Amino acid sequence: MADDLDRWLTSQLQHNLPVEIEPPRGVPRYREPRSAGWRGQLLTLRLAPRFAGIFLGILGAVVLAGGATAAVHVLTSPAHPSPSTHHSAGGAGCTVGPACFGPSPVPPTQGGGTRVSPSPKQGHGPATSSPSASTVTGGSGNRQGPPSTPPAQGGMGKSIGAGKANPGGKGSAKAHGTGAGIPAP
Amino acid sequence: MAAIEYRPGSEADFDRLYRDERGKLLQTIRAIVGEDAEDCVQDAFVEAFRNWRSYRPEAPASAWLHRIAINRAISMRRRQKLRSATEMVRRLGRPEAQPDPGQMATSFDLARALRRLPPRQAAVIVLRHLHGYSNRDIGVALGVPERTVASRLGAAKVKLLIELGPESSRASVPEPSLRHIPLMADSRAGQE
Repeated sequence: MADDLDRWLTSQLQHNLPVEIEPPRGVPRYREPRSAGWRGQLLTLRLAPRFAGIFLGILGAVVLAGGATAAVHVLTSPAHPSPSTHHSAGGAGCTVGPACFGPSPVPPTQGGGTRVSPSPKQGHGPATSSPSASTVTGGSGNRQGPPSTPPAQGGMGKSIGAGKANPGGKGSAKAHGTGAGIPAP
Repeated sequence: MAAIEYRPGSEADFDRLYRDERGKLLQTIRAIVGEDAEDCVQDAFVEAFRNWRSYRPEAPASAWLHRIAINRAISMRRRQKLRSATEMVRRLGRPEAQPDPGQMATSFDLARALRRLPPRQAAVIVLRHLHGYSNRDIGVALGVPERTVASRLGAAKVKLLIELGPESSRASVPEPSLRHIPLMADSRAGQE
């Protein structure tokens, strides 16, 4: 009986899975020239546009991400208060008395009170450190005190100040000052 | 299985192997993957050609080719299942297509029933009952011991008759067939 089943299976298989009589058409696939691998394709520049596209895409993404980060940083950073936190040691000359006597400890002493400032103001005002909201802080100037007793040997000093601008302006001040200071009490 | 000599690495011999074995291979693979068999067989020959130099004539070339092709067919069957699952998802919500009446008339189709079997079981049935290979030859082709071949064969027959079910009664299947199948199926074969 098992033989019956086997015979039945064999006949059904022959019926359902017929042998392909006609010979295979065309060149068998194993005989076809092998397609070059990705290296070969790249060398023949077939993949070059694709690679260029990918590279440009990555580059664009990086630039966008950088821009977005910068924008977020600018938008979220706390605004600086208006009063200038000027670091300029405005003014020149000696403010501390004893140092004013004798040769100045600052070697490149140059008098003249010249001032180089990008600001439109160029003053010779007192070397006060004003909390001004001006675009330029840290002005300096010559300072001449009242005659000292004994007459003070004019100390010379050099002061370099860098003012921090309030929003909207920036500036730096550099001042050379010569002053005749009063000895500190 | 007639042992025909093929010299490894010889392109002329590989051409001869192609001419001799392509038909048989196509039949076996058609039982596993259906219409995609041609593609699968061509892929198998490409792979075989690539490894032709390393082929060792200890096993018949036909068995070696069958092993390559059946492995390819198993991969292809997996892809087919994936594809059909995707199709099903795409069709969700749409009215189901009516079956073709012409197809219904010839619905008794052993090939279709074979495709529902696990690939290796389908291959065993075809190799044994269509190509007439011995269990030993099938073992060489599939890379499994003879005992495994016998158990797979038994399990495959049982499943096949269950698959055919009512259709098999319409055809002239020997009535007490199920009782006479040597049930040597071990648990491994059943879980394939």
